[in-house]
Amino acid sequence: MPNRLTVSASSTQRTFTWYALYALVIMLLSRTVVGWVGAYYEQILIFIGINITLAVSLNLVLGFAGQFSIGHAGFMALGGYSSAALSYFVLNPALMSLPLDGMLHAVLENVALAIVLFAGGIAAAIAGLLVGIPTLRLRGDYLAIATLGMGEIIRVVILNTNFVGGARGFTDIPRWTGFTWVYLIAGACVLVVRNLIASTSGRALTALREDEDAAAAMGINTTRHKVMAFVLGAFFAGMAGGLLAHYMQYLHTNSFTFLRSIEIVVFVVLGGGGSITGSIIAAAVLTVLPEALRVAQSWRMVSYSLLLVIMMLTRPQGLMGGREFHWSWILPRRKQA
Amino acid sequence: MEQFVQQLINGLSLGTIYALIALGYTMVYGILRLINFAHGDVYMVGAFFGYYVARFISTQLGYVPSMLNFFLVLAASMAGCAILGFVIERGAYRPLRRAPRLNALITAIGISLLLENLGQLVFGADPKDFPNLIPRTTLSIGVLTVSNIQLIVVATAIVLTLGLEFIVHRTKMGTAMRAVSFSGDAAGLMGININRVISFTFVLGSALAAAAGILVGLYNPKIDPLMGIMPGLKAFVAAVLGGIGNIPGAILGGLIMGTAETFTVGYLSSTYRDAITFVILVAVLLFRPTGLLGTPARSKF
Amino acid sequence: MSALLEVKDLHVAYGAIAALKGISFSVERGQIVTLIGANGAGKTTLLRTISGLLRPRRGEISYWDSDDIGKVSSSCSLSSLAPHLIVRHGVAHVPEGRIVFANLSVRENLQMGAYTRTDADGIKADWDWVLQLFPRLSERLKQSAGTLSGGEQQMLAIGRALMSRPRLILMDEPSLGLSPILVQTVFAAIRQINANGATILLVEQNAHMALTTAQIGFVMETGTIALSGPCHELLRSDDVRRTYLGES
Repeated sequence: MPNRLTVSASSTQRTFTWYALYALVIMLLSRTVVGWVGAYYEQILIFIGINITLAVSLNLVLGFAGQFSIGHAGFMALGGYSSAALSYFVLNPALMSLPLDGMLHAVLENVALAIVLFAGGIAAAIAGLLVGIPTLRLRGDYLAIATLGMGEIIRVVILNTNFVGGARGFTDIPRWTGFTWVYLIAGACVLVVRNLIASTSGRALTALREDEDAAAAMGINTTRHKVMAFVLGAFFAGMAGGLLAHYMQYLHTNSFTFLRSIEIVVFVVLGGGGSITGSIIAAAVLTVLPEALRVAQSWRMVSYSLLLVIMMLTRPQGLMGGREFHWSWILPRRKQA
Repeated sequence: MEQFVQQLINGLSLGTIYALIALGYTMVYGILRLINFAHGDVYMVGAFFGYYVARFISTQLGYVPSMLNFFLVLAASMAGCAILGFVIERGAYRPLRRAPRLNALITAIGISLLLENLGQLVFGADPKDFPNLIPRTTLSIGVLTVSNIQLIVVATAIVLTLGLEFIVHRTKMGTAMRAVSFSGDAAGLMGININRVISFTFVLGSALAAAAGILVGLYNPKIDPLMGIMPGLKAFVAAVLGGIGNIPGAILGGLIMGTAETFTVGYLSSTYRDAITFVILVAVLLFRPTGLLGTPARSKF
Repeated sequence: MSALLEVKDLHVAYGAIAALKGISFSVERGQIVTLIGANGAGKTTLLRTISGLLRPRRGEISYWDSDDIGKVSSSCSLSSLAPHLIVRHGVAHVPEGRIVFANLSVRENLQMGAYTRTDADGIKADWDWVLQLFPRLSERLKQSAGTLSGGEQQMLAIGRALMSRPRLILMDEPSLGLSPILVQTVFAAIRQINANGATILLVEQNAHMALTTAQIGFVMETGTIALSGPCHELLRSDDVRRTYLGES
């Protein structure tokens, strides 16, 4: 037993070390490369980071737990709007009213951002809990359309809520975020999902993906695990929404239709359900692709959808087919060379 | 009271259009267990086929009596979409027959996006005015008004539904369709070519969607390449409401959806026009997932 | 007598799990041949492979389509044909658990049995013969098949198979879940069908019924054929008596 405790303690330690290292690299990058590439490419990088968060968090639900949810954009919208409301109505006015110098102001701004992002995540997670408990007893196609419906209901309710802008959109949200925060959250999301998958709960999730009845017969509380995955997925989707809000400074419900949810599903499926690296790569590639296809003008979206269909027909298991990238894939080749 | 009856009339005539689209969803789901997300876009293409055929008739053939004109446009558009449905199934869905269901669903979504984007490219993104095939006249019965268009929409839908009913229950192919929807394996053992039955189902469903496209063109003459998204979703909800896979259920569901929509707009607010769809969807899924007329699903996902 | 069906070295697997490990046997024209064995021995898999629902990994299924034509070799015939084409060669399969189309009427079920045929006179003749064989069905023609009792469903499944006028009928556990009296009725019908000219390959758990009805028997164990011979000999074999007939 003590042996096992030390192992887990050291693995937690290692996780933190890795994350600290990653955070350092991100901050360095944000000071150097990102400043240097210009606003257009910075924006693309930021969208990639947000999409990675969305894709990895949905992969937990869709790829690992096997629960077909297509309402992710609804949680993203909820997180985005709640965090924006908190910063717009409460924290930003408070911050502005304090007579602070630059340095302290910047620090407090980051603290405020952390608070609103977390609040947005929590709001989405609560919604995930409320939506998840009744719908997750449905299976397959029925779950898919129920989550689609729930996502749309969230969107329409926001559309009809006037104090967050309603049909005009939510404007003048403070610009508190950029490259660093987006990638800190994306990294945290990857880490949390990865560690969860490696845990006992993670094995329970994959078991219920393979055969829900068998998993239940083994004594796994399937409902609890499904709801847990769903709530955690919603939490990160809400954070992603908050990041988007405080980068774009503007939110409109049109950005959160079920097409947005489907886009996230496409990231996961094309990357390969059950592969975190697959989700990351697919989110990055599919964010860049429409931009790269801009030269093709009006054919851009046609070729995007055509590629999607061709990909499904030729490589239905997705890019990574459920596997993870591992350094051993490239390192031996280097040795040979 | 008059307003109530008037809303009911409007709702039912809108509902027949949803019902026609819902039939295609429900038939394909019954046979393949696939939510054919592209179905709403086939309906959009049907409306555009009608638009171009009507323009061709008026420029090349000159004057044609309005009812004949309507039938020509309807028939041409139904034929065109039947071919489109056949090609979609053959090219995109058949290769995935043994793949996981998720992949087939994503492919359907891909086809849907493809049709929408191709539509914007080929037809143009701006809304077009659907030609006035039949001059609108209104009939007043007491305080109620009914337009001839509404009567034509409902009559056409009834004729088509009866035709479908005949095919499904009185022909060999229709019986084979029902057999395949019960068990593909057992149907194969009878010598039924399952792929041919599936193709036939897509042809039938797409032709009905095209008819809905023409009827909506008469009813509400603005058409655009994204017009299929919301009616597609609503028709899908109608199919779920009636019990997906169940043909009378799709018709009932369509009528309920149409009525619910006009009542929401009439008594609440038009901003909730689409929300009511999803409220009904979620309510059905939570309280009666098999729909009003559906039977419990036999197989799990 | 000549062979109607010959299976050679048939291997079938579900993913990595081998279900049939090199099955070889043949069925002579006009016989009733039975396959007995425990659950999981591969009996159903074998029938599903012959009728095209499963694809073999390896092996050959030869089938003599008509009396004069030579051998149609498997790799290009039965083992690569889709089920609906195999039916056209005169092979009918009565699946396990009597899968009748519950949403269709009894009449429609029988009509589906004759799906591949266009000879109206022949269909009429077979229709009459099926209803004569199972008079219970003629009272229920308009009823939906899902409302029939288990025994009636089995009769319908067999009758439906007969409607394709098969040369070879594959029957999977026709006695499953039936009362002893109904088992007698079904087996009497099987004998009558055989007397009428069809060859029957019968898979059964009810080894006693099967061995007293058939002429030739094969005993399957975990994907292979363990024992074979004329049924009267198998009935005397100690192994069979102990394992499958429950005698000590």
